[in-house]
Amino acid sequence: MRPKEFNRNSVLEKCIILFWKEGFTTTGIEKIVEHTGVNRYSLYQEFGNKDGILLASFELYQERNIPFDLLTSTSLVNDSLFRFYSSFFHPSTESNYPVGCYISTLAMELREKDAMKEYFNNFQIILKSKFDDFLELVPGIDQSDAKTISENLTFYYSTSIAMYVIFPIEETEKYLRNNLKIITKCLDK
Amino acid sequence: MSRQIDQAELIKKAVPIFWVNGFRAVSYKNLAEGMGVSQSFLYNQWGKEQLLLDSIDDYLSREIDPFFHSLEHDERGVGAIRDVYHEVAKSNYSEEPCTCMLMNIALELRHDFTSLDSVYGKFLHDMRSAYTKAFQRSFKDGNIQDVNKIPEYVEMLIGLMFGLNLLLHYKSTEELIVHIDAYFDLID
Repeated sequence: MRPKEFNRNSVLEKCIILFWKEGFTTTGIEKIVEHTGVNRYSLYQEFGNKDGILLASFELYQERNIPFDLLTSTSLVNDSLFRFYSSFFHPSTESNYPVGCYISTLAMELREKDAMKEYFNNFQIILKSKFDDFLELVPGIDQSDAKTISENLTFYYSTSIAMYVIFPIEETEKYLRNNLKIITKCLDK
Repeated sequence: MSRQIDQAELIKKAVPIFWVNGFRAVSYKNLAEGMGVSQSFLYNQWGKEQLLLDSIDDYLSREIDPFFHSLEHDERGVGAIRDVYHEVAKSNYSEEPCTCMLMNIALELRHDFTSLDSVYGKFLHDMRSAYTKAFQRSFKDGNIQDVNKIPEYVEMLIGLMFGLNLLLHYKSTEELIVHIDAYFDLID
């Protein structure tokens, strides 16, 4: 088989930054070619079309940047949840990513787009199942409490990601702590 | 004829365009057609960013200020806030803009425009103060137990409205109302 002339993931990383910072709709294929250094033909060959690039970029982002591995220690439920949500406010310096969540930002821009709707709804189902799994590890947790908390946490994802837009990070993190305390308060009983 | 009156009328026409479409997706052509003026006039005399700022000003004074004012004086206290969230969940986005224009723009542009910082600052201050007054009324009526928790609840509900502005496009009314009620149930 002919080796690919480009590294798929590094192309997608460049596209993530491009779409995230400049928007998906207004970014034409010429701009993608210019930023990735990969020609149009090879891009289409690999991803099909611009939507294909978008979906592949979501998959890569989800795999690398949604820190589900933080949802494992239940000794301090709120600390784990806090670290999970606040990770989006501290992107690693080598990634060059902006503050926030790529998927949610694009979900706002592309709210009328069917492919986006399907992806984002599915993403929320995954989120919920991760919260379910996490809460199941909490010793002695009441089943209906776990269900309510998990639903609230999933809903809270969109909220927490939106908050940094309006508040400075320190303030956002303060509210994050308070909100998580309120959402999980039935665990204190 | 006064130029100022003309401007105010023109801005009124620009508001729904930004409200529905956001900022980036709006072209000078869209604006010129919607406002009934020439593209070159808008481009040379106004600029898209300034027009957005003027539209937000107009939106705040016509849509948001009266709303905050009525919330502050509503006897139902927190119940009145819950009703507003239900209204947002029930609105059909495809028919008319129903979410908050400022929140939409904030979610889209983040910190791209420093000129928007003071606008958000005032908006949040007013929102916080209106919500706090509603909570204080509920506290007086005995529906809130701990007065010290009010600031935390207020921030939670402000965040919830932002989340709602995004999820409105992805969830059904029924799902949203269940979620909203679950949040309000956390207030005691």
